[in-house]
Amino acid sequence: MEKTILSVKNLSKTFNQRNHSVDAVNDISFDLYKGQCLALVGESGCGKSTIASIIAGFTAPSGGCVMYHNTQLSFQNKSAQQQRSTMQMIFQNPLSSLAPRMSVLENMKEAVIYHEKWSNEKIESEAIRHLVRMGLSEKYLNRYPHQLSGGECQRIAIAKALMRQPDLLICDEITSNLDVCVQAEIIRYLIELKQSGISILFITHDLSLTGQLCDYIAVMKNGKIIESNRTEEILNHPKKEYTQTLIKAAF
Amino acid sequence: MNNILNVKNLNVCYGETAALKGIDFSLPQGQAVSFIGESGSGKTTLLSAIAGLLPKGSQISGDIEFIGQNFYALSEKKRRQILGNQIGIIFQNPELFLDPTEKIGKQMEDYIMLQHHIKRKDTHNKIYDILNQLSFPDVKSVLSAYPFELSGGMCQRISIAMVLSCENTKLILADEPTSALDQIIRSQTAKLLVDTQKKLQASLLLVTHDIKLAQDVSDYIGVMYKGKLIEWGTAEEIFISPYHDYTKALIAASPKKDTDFLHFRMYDATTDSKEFLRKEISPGHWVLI
Repeated sequence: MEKTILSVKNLSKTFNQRNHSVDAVNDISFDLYKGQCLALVGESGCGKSTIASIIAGFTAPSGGCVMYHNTQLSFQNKSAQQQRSTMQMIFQNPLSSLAPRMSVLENMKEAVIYHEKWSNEKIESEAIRHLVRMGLSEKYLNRYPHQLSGGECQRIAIAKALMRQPDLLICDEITSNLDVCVQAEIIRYLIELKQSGISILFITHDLSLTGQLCDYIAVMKNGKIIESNRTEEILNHPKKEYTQTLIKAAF
Repeated sequence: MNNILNVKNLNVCYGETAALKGIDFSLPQGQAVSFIGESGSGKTTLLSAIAGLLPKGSQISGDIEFIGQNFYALSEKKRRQILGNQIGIIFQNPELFLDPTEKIGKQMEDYIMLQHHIKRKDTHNKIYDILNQLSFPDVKSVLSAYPFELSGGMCQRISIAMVLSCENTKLILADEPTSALDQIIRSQTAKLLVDTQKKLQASLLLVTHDIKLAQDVSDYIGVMYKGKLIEWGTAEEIFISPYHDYTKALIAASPKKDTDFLHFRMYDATTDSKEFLRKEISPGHWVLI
């Protein structure tokens, strides 16, 4: 039986605004298995990123819970960080996760110095190992983010996330800013990571990217999952009209 | 058919970096062309050069003819009159195009007053007409909203509406107009763009790395690679029978439902010193080899 790494149960999040409230996430449940990739797909504002930020501990839910390795995740500062030590999030804009005045090595160092007591040599060798894993070389260590292309920055952001040996990657629209060639390259690297046993929660509005990477797809609309199934089923035999519209827009 | 735009041997340098190298093409009236290519290939520089919006200090050579007149031979004042009136521009990020401190209604009024030389009170009917044409759901609340209160897609539609408000528009320049939008809004915006272009009987010059968008809206396709226009042809010619290896790689990397798009062969070559020859594949379809 497949091992469940992440289990989201009846998750809800309501944002209260001045004179009204918005149900961004409404009674969402799903499981993510070890070494598999689940895509959360839907239009802007459907609640995909809110789910990601709840799982990552940036936002507390209004209801429901998130189980990670069979432990219910907390949203209190200290324990929340410890519980999520093997979970990493990668963002749409790689420049927002790389400090502009730090070199690539310093940026990658930041990912571990507060958690591990590694020597500088070990940090450097680990950084090189993960850069190579992402198709880059050690010559990138001394470069600064502004000297890199968008695709290189995103690969470094992934390499930085890998420094802490995560078993879960949350990828929030990580290919949206990239052109088609770089986008395909990033997907190729994610497939390799998945094959090495890392689970991926892949958030995107573009169904066309899910075919070769994702094992399952959950289609979201207005804060709810309206259809979820194995990738081939969703892409070839969508049941809901909205999913059909998304597929039509994507291909 | 008359050409609305003729670009001849256009070169642009930023300091010592050559961003555009000898670009040649013509855009017929009422037709749409998309320039596709990866980031850094010079697409946006090409659009900025045509709009006269290159950053200070950049060196430009070659000719850009807009409706038979050399655009760069005109005075700065005359160029500014053409921009926004005969040339409409749609930017990648609509929030940057709209003033964050002014309501949408006020911004549309200002734009129309400036372009049509009419009084503020006379702009209202025109604004309502345009927004109704574009099927805006609740025109009144859109007009009283600030840009941050609208979604990215809605802001982009407002910037298209502003272009549509100007009946003199002969050429629409659009720089990655859908890259900030999700798939559904993307296809709606693409349709709106084509409808607007047809309604104004204008030409459209689109810069994008979204192959599907280019396929949806274009009559012609120009493929850019490292500052050169390496292939040119009708959309059908480029997408059905691409000739250049780079064009093939680019189209192969575009996600498809039933075929493997991940194992395309990345193309890499220099465009610096090599002498290029233009090879005619069929009438109107050429490549640089």
